[in-house]
Amino acid sequence: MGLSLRNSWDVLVVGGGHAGIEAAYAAARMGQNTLLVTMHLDLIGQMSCNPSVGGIGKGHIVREIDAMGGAMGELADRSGIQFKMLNTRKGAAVQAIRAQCDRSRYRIEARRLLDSQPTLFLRQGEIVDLEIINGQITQVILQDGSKLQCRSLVLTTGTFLNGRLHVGLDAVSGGRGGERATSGLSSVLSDKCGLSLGRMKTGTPPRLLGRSIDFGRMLPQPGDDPVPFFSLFAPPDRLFYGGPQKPCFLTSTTDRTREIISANLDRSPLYSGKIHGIGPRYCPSIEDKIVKFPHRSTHHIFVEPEGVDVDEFYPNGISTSLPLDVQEKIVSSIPGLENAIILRPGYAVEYDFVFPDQLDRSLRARPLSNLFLAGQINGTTGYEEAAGQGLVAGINAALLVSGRPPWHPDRQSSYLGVMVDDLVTHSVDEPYRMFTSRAENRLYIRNDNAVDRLTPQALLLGLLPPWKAEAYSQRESFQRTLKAALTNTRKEGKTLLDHLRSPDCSLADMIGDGLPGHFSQAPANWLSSLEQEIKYEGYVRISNDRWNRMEDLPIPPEILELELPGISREVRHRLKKERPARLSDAQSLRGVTPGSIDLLRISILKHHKKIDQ
Amino acid sequence: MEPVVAPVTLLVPQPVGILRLSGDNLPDRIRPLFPALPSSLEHRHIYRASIIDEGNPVDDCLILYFEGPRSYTGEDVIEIHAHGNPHNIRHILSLLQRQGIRFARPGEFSLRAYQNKKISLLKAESLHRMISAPSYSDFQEAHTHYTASGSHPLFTIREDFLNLLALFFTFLDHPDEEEEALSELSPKVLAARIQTLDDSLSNVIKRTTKARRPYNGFSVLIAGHPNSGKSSLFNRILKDNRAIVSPIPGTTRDLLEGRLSFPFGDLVLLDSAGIRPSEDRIEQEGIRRTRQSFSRADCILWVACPDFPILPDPALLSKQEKPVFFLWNKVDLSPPSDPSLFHHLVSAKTRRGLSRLSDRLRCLAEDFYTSASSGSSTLDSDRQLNTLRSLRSAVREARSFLEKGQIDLALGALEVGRQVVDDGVGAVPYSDIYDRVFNLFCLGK
Ligand SMILES: Nc1nc2c(ncn2[C@@H]2O[C@H](COP(=O)(O)OP(=O)(O)OP(=O)(O)O)[C@@H](O)[C@H]2O)c(=O)[nH]1
Ligand SMILES: [Mg+2]
Repeated sequence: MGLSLRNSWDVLVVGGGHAGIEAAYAAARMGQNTLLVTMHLDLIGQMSCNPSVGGIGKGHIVREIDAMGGAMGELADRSGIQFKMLNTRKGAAVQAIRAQCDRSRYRIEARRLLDSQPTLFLRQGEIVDLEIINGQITQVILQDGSKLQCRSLVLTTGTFLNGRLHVGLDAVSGGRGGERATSGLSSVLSDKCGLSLGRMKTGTPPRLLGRSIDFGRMLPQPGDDPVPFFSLFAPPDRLFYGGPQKPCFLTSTTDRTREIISANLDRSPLYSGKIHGIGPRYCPSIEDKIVKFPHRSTHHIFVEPEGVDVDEFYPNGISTSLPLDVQEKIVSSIPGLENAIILRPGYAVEYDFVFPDQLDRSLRARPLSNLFLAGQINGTTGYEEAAGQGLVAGINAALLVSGRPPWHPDRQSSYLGVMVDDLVTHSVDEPYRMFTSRAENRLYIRNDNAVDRLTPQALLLGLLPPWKAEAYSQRESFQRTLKAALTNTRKEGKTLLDHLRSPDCSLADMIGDGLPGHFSQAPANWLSSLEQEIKYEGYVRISNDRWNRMEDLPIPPEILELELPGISREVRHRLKKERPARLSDAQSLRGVTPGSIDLLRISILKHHKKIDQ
Repeated sequence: MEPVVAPVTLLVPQPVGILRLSGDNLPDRIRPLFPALPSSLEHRHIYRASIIDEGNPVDDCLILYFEGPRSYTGEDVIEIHAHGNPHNIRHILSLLQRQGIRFARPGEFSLRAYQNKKISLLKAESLHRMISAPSYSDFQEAHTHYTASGSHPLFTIREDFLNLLALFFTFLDHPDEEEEALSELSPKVLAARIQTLDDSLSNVIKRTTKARRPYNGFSVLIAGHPNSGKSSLFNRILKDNRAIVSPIPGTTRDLLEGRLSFPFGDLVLLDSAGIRPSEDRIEQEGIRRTRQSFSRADCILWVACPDFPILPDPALLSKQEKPVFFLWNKVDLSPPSDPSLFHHLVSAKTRRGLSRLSDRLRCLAEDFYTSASSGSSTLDSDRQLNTLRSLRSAVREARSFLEKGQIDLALGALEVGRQVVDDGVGAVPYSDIYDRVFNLFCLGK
């Protein structure tokens, strides 16, 4: 090995997927010498499933990543071909953006972003072994024989751990269509690192040639106008190719589809018992949908464009691992796809994952002092979930190296916190996907206020370049001025602020009618986030109250022996077992509800009173 | 835990008296008193042994042994069956206390069972209701809750509530223009489901408040002017001498309860302080209690007599939708001037008219119990009632948000209800709710 090759790194990230990108990018922004090792440099930022970023719950995560100066929102904005705000009629707390992206453009933008970081380097290679001394990883060993020293290591190997691809009853080793899997790393994790592993599966549909599709038989699904971009600091003013947004197309399966699938179930690796991994219920294969909901005669299919330069489409909704001849029959049974030509067959992939309750809240694997895991390796699905964990792991890998305490995203103020908390306390029994229903404090952790919630923390961590810090303070002072104007302007005996609290009053209507017109010059998000803050203020206070009204009292051990009225048996048992020292510790215990924390708090206060007397 | 003991049978002369003990290492704790016991006892076996006090045999007993945790409380449990003379039982209790075994507090056995996870709080409440049930049908209902908790109204309500949450989760987490499954869901459908839940909550609450009587059974209040003979009647009907009878007006100061047990259920008879203007503070309080019982009791007997031929102040009886009977007591002295004003002419002294009066009360009680046990189940405790009341207010708040189109806020309100259910019925993990989503809907692309 040439001496000119550097081989000692502060933070080493393994994997070039969405988790790896965020991890490496975060560590590099924090000034660490960072190396990202991946099996194929051209495939950094590959979207292995559908070419889309965001969605309900997921889009919230993208916004949080963006508020912390991360990559995903900007990459999606710079490669997006269609953008939509979802759930617009159900309340601001559950709204989120989803973008269709140009698959290859996304990769190019990802590569460009990483290459632009002065302390970030890339290396193609496959990890085969780790050297561990006294519970600390000292170096990683590549298949080509090189040894790379590192002070902290982030593993983001996605579906590549012992990956197996299934098409019909044939199975080959692989991490993604056309790519190799890593085989040795699983046993290193279990045998050398003492982590216990499980197995999961997921799948993709066949990809289709555009000119063989009859789009006239499908319903076009356009994007929103104006385009709702993710990025809060510097949203682009147009799509990367300058043109109009590309539509998706809606069609659906038919009775014929169902007959074909039912007749061929014995050739499905899912139903013939060849696949054992646990799959995501919310992303079922078409086989699953037909078997589990036999009374449903049709299932929607969204035909999504793969990009502007390629004539390839992704029929979202018919993920399958049936053999190719059956896939062809399924496709041709669908209106508009009668003559569609398959460019790449669909497949199911099975892979190893690490049960995430072996991690701490900084996503560090507890048996080792400097190993962090992020993404699908932790049993999650989705680019956004992976990226969010990558951000958390990258930050903590960097903090560890610089001797600073770890950073834990807070469950009450971010989806990142909800996700990390769910993973490390409850582990997973199916691939974990974000939903707004997972977040108790969803009225506060909204899509529109990610900057207010997370940018201050990003500033403290040193994740933002000066221009973003500047943009943040401008936004702050703009909103302060606007709020003052709302408070000081009265209309019909009430302040505009009070008017705005009502659900049928909008800020846009007030500008020019009560408020000076220049306020409308500000970026749309500056206005909408303030508007929602005012509308939700009253309710957020109520739901935050549950958490904040308590100072963090110490729990006298004897109190756990008392009969605590109203606290359920399960919770009592848990408290007795774990013996938390403070309310905050009790709060983080699995299954301990906010209600029982309140009751515990009351009991502690009563107990103090009794002792005082 | 430290060993405790309590008599299970009443301290009255009877063939057998039973003491129950619970605690850790019980056989060793009692062996000094029963030297004949084998060195190790077997679970669910019966032993015969004498109690020996300082070398002298005290009584010949049967000992039943349940080894913890396979016992009611989850600790070692022992029952001692001795001869049921109350003095004997008291003596054995004192011997046990000398061994360091203290008296159990009321409900302590069930509390321990609850703490040792042998029964849930709900079961403990069902058990308590079983023990104090005023009628057999009430007992049976509590017993069903105890043995088959799925039949408990709290569980059916919880099921409905969790299904409702699952619908909200589904609706809010999936874009409706895309998920075909969501065509079955709309704010309208959600509102209808909320209404159904509100209705069943109100139903259970109403049924329970109606069935749960303040005096735990069908109650009859005896009221009237002081010295009209209320206490005398009370004693006669109960065939007891519990109430003090005297010629001094204002004798009875406190509400006195007596219970008659019929095959269909209990009749609770209440003797009360006579109503008159009074300066005496204690008597005033007694009269206040009497007035209070007017609204609580299920039936009222108003007693008049020759010295006080008065009918009650109409204000007392207004808004009372319960049977009120006017009695003329001391008919042995003189009849009323207008007999048509009175339902019963009686004499506590000669017992005239009393059996007809007793029959009447019995019929009323029987009607009450037959109409109460209409088959639909009620709650076991006030705590459960409060849980459902808080749940109902959360559900109503959710509905009012939903009506304004604020669906995320509606779910926020339901989440408050979820805390109530968590604390009141037992915590529900997120995954439990999400399982419902996937059983109901085919979601995802
Ligand atoms: N002759 C006769 N005397 C009766 C009868 N019933 C009660 N008395 C007498 O009336 C007096 C008052 O009887 P109580 O039963 O104490 O009357 P009370 O209504 O409970 O009186 P207070 O407790 O003071 O309100 C006593 O001396 C009884 O012996 C009856 O039917 N005939
Ligand atoms: Mg009396």
